[in-house]
Amino acid sequence: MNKITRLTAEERENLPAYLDGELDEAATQAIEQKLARSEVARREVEMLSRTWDLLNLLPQSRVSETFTEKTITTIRVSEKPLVTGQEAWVQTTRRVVILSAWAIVLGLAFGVGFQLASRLIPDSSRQLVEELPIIQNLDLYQEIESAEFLEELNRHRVFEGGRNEPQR
Amino acid sequence: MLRVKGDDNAAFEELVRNYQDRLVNVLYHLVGNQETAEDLAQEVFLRVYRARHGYEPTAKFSTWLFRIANNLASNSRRAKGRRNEVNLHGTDEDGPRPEESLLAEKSALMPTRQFDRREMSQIVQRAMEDLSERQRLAVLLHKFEDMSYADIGATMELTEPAVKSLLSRARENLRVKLEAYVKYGEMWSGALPTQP
Repeated sequence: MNKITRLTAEERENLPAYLDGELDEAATQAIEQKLARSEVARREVEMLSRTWDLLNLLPQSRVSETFTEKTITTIRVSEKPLVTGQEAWVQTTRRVVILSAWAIVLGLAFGVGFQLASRLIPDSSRQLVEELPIIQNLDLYQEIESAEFLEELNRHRVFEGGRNEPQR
Repeated sequence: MLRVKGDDNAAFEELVRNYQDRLVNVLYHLVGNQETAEDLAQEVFLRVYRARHGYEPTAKFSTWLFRIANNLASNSRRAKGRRNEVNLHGTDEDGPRPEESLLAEKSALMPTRQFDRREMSQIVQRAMEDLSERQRLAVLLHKFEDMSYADIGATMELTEPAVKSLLSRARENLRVKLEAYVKYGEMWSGALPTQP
């Protein structure tokens, strides 16, 4: 192979991985064979390596002296809303329990008030219900025409078990 | 993290101390501003803390941490873009000053003179800023976090071949931008890193 043979695009792409030891065995051998025969290839690898080493000149940033303390404090403070959140949950539960208790008390008061009111205030509907048998038999009672006749019938025990003979 | 999951506050503080510099460094290079990087890092730790009870050690903690960081940084950049406050070349108070930017641009046109360490740092930083966001993150995770392609894939939700392709393009872009400075930069690249 000519010593100025250039690398193919694929071989060139493999060079950094070769330098990083990230190529598989077959690709590594292929690159090494090329490097052994081509001065151009060797120069390319060398320049890649040397320009990579220049990155050592990059400024290395370090945290300010207060960073650690500030970070820990910030995290503790920011975690407080979570605690406050838990307290808020407890407060909400307490509020729900109080509201529920009030609802039960109001319900009981309403029930007791309704019962008392229904007993103390005359109810026309109740009277209708109580007198329903009379209303249902009103036509029959009207045929009797007089209360005296009805009482006479009762005296003769017409309404007692089918016996219609007056007791003497 | 398992101790943090068990509500061990001391363990959480230890975790913050262990990861804070690494996290802020990556975020700084993603958003280009120290203050924003620290605010985002704080938000990352807050999310980690809030999600501690649901944490399952199925993957590396660092991939989970940097995935949260990447999502937050992306959201931050989008919000910043919407507010039309994007500072593409990092001319904020933490980045290079305008005159320094000009110097760096001039330097790019005449790479024959000597560069001091600060200038070289700016040139490298500029080359990084010219990468796409995804390329930059992949480079940062690989270079500074020493992540494998599989871990980078887990962090960025990409397949390993996609990570390989992404890093290949990123490194080729860096080579094109920085090749002219290699002989100057090598005087400094072995030295201790600079502070922003």
